[in-house]
Amino acid sequence: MRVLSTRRLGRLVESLCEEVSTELPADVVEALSRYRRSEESPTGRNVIDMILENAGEARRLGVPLCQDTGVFTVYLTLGAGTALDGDFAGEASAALARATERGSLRPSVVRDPTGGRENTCDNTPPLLEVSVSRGDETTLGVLAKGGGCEMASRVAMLPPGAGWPGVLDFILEVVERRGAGACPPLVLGVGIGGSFDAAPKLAKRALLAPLDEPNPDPEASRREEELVGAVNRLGIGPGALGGTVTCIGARILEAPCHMATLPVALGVNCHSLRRKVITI
Amino acid sequence: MKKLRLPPEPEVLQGLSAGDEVLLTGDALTLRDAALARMEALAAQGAGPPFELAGELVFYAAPTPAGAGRPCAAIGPTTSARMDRFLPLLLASGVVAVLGKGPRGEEARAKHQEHGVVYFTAVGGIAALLGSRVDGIETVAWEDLGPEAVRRVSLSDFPVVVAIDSAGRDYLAGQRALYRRDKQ
Repeated sequence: MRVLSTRRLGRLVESLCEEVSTELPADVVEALSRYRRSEESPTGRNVIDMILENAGEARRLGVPLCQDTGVFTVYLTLGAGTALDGDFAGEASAALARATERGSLRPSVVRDPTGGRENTCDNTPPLLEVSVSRGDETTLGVLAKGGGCEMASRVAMLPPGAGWPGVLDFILEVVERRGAGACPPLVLGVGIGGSFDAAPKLAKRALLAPLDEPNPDPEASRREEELVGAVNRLGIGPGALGGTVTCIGARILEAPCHMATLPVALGVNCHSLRRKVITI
Repeated sequence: MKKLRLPPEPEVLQGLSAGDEVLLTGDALTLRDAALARMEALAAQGAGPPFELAGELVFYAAPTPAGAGRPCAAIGPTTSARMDRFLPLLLASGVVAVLGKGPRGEEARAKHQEHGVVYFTAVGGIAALLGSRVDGIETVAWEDLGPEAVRRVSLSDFPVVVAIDSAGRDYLAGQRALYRRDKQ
């Protein structure tokens, strides 16, 4: 049995929260640079240049990439035979509060959502996704997601026979209607199958997958390319100022589901895809 | 690139056309969801907010705290369409321009046209860059709303694009149609 120190995990969560807020991941920078070459609109290319310049400025000064520093999801996947020695939820929450204070992060979380909507002042609590793996490896990840792209995300329960064409139609309808307010060029996380609650978790987890490695499932990889191509024909463009680059990547995760259902979730992310996963 | 002093002179605003790139310099008021909801609640009781909006540019924004020697470390626009339910309130208060991001519905476009009010859009998600274009920030009202408090921000060459001009021309809708590619 391997026993992990929750105190140590807390310190790692703190540095991940600070790092993702100020450093745009290399694979996202690379995808933006690559898609810039296919952007037909001069304004669109200019916007991508500003996004890349912003990433440089944020890293250089240690200031947040975006004023909406987001809601934080902490992903802990425990390897087989691994245990925790204490209160991980408490450590993760305290870590996020410290990162918020040190990193000039905007407190963006409110309690009592339909009532007073009072700010918690330190971005706590984080959303926790703790799961177990059949392998030996334990991983820890953080995703910081802004409100604009969260508001564009959707889940649908499609008829089981809708198939991939039905899923594609659903996604395109959502992006057509809401993508422009979500800070394009977008990254799309897609969850297919599972259940009403599992599909959105898959969609969000899909956003953690690196954009510079192909999906190990060749059919999913083909669908991701088809989806990116279709979204890029919508005309929304970088900064919603018009253009041929509305999406710089899509990742699909699937799970088995009930024979009577086809759950699908679209996790829309802005161009500032702030996430990092490390192996413990 | 055009330059515009804030608060804007009405005749200068009317001279701007959809698609113009503009650098804003001067004071704007940040106002968004929570503050607008409070304004709406006050208006329902026949009361006004404890600040003057006539002639102002309203910036739909909630910046980060200070950092890196800046009054706010990062600042940028939020989604304008979410504020459209409060647009009649802002127009009745004499606001002459709004700044946010993203497309607007036809109803909002028509209201902008009717009042000759300009909609500026800034690029979302480049707040570390835009943070260098803010010289000062002070709270005007409703500190309890935290990041959503009403603040006066002093902008310096803040880059925006005219998304809806005073004649109601919608730049974003035109651009989207221009670059839309029908499926082969």
